[in-house]
Formats: sequence, structure tokens, C-alpha cells
Amino acid sequence: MENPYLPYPARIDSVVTETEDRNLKTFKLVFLNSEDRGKFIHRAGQFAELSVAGKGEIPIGIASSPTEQGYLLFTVNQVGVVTGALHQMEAGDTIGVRGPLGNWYPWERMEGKNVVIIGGGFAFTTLRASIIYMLHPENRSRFGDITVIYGARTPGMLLYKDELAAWNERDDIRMHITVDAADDPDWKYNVGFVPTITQEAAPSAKEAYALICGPPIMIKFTLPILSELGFPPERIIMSLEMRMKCGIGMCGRCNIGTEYVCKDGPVFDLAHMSRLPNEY
Amino acid sequence: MVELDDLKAIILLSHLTDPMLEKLVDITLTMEHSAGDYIFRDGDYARYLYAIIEGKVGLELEKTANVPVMMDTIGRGRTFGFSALVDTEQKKYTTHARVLADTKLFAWEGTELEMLFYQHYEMGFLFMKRIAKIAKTRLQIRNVQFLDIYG
Repeated sequence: MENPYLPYPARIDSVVTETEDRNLKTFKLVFLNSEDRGKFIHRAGQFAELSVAGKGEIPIGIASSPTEQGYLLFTVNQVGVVTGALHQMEAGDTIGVRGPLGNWYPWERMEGKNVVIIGGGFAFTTLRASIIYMLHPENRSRFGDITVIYGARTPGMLLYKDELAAWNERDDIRMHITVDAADDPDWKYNVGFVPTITQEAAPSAKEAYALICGPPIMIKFTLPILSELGFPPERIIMSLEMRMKCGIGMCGRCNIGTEYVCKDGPVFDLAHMSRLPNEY
Repeated sequence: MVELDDLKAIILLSHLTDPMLEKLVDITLTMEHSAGDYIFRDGDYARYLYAIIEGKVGLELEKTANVPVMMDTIGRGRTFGFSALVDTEQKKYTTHARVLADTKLFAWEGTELEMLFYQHYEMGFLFMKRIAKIAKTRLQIRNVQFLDIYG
């Protein structure tokens, strides 16, 4: 049995600063040992533990799609010791990757269905992986309409700006990008809160799943809108990533009722979550 | 000719009964604006309440002279220009309304709506109750946005 705490060594291939406040960076990682690449088979929605020697490790959603071969992407918000150390690292530096961990979005259940993706701020990483996965030529026909509603504070705080712009030009995905305020006269998307834009976009709930990931207060305002649109709790899928630490259900820090977010989640549907204590 | 189903697609009106909507039809105007037009500017007399049938309108405030900041975009089914219904001494719009994409609108003159509501109190009550709910929701959202929730 392999030690579940042992990370794979990976080299930082590139670092992209995503946002105008410079607090969000995307790290492209390549495994140092080619056999590790074969062991790391993930699905969109999963996370991994990133470790910096002497600093510790943190759980981070995998931003790359399984269809993106040969590398992994992680978008990291600088908030603490490990993320602060990561943000000081550059291409060529080595870090540890442990995973993939947790469950994933219900791809089997969503096959043949319409998918509505709702994200806010930097909680768009595993949603980005999901969009890339569904738009892959081998997968696109396996899903119906794809609608994306994504919001951030300002245009400069949106993640993956080039990809958002490219998706906006496609006719096989409906994009609704929004910010809280815009002083850019060329801003061509929406201004407003994600729940308001969701109500306005009014994606049909017929044969549709909603994947939602964002700050709790955004989710709180969005859930009633989805309910009004007719989405049943079983088809509202959320990713909880708070409080996770060890990633394998051992430390108990992310325990909610009978579940461990890291091991039984982080993906839960609303019907399941409503049976858990309201601690998330 | 304005159809009842078109009015029902407006969120503000979705709780009114068919007989109430029929009364509204008589004073409903339709307007069209092209992208780049200003429907009104901050300080203009607030004559009309608007609802969007198709298209998109941005509500802007000027941070300093000639430096607009877009505070909201209003799309299909939503309403703006509430100042036309607020009975102050001088009804004035408090933002610019700039057309972002070719837009088709319903418009109601504020004074005509008030006359209608004086004649039909129940309709006026339901209409203004809905306005209050929308205003409350927008205020809640503005409060949330102050929190910088995405940070």
C-alpha cells in the first residue's frame, strides 16, 4: 500500500498572474517522473494537495481538464503561509502534488443533459476544468446546452480572461459574464450580481443540471432563483471546499454530520446537503 | 398592439391579474433605441418607467465629470426608471441609462400610472408592493456588493 500522504514531485512550468490585485496566480505543473503522470488520473471537480517544503500543504481544486494532457493547472489565491510561499515561486521550482482527491461533478448523470455553470470570484477553477472538458470535441456531443454565468468584483478580477472571451465567441456555449461595477467604457458584458444575471438569463431547468461554486452569500442568493426556475435539489450541484485539510478524511477538520467534505465530497447535490447539519 | 403575454414576461408585472394587465395595455407605449443611445441622463425629468422586452441597458453614474461607472445592466424582463413613480417635488432620474445593445422597451408615463392606481387601488397596491420588493432586493444586492464577496 502506498503512503497516501506522499506527494508526487512536480516542476512549475509557468506562472500566470490572473487578476489585477496580483493575488491570484495560475500554476502550470509538470510531474518530474513520467510514471507519476500515469497515476494521476483525475475528473473535473476533484482537488489535490499542493505542498511547499518546510511550509505545509493546502487543498486546491484542479483547474485543468482531464482532456488537457501532460500538465495540471492550479489557480491559487494568496491568503496564508503556503499560498504566500507558492506565490513567491517561479517557473523551474519544485513543489509536491498529492491526489487526485475527493469526488467529482456527476458526469455520468449529466450526460445528455443541459448544464448551467454558475461561478463567482476565484471559485471558478473546477468549473473552468468542467467547461474545457465539455467543450472538448470528443465530449461536446455528450452534453446539451451549456450556459455559463460567472461574476467577479471588477473586469480585472475575472479569471481566465482570454478563455472567457474565446468562449463568448462560440455558438455552442452561452456566456453571461458579469461584474459588480465597470468603469471601462469598452466593457461589453453585464454589470450586476450573479443571482440577478441568473434570473435574467433564465436558463431552462428542463433536463438541466446546475453546477454552482462561489462565495456562500452568492450561493445563498442564487439558490432561490434556481428553485424559481424549476431546478430540483437533486440537480443543483455544489462544490464545498472550505475547512479541508488532509484530503483523505483522517484529520476530521471538514466533518459535517456524517460526511467528510474532502472524502465524501467536495461535490454534493443540494438534496444531499439539505440532510446535513447546516454547518457549511 | 401590446399583448398580455408580452406584459406577463415583465417581472414587475408577473403578479398582476389579466383584468389588471388589460387596464395597463391602454397606457403602455413601446419604444426602440439603438446601441449607444441615452434613454435618459442623470438629472433629467423622470417621465417614464421602462421595462425591457429585448436588448440591454446600462445604468451609469459619473464618478467625476465625464467618467462614467456602470452600476448595473438591465436585460430582458427587468425594469428601470423607478424615479417616475416616486412622488417627490421634482422627479429626476438619478443615473444615466445608456443602450448597450439595440433595445425594445415598454414605457409607462409615471403620471398616467398614478392616475390608474388612484382609480384602481388594488392594482396600485400590488404594483407598488412589487416595486418595493424589487427595490428591497436591489438594496440587499448593493449591500452584498459592498462586502466585496469575491475577494
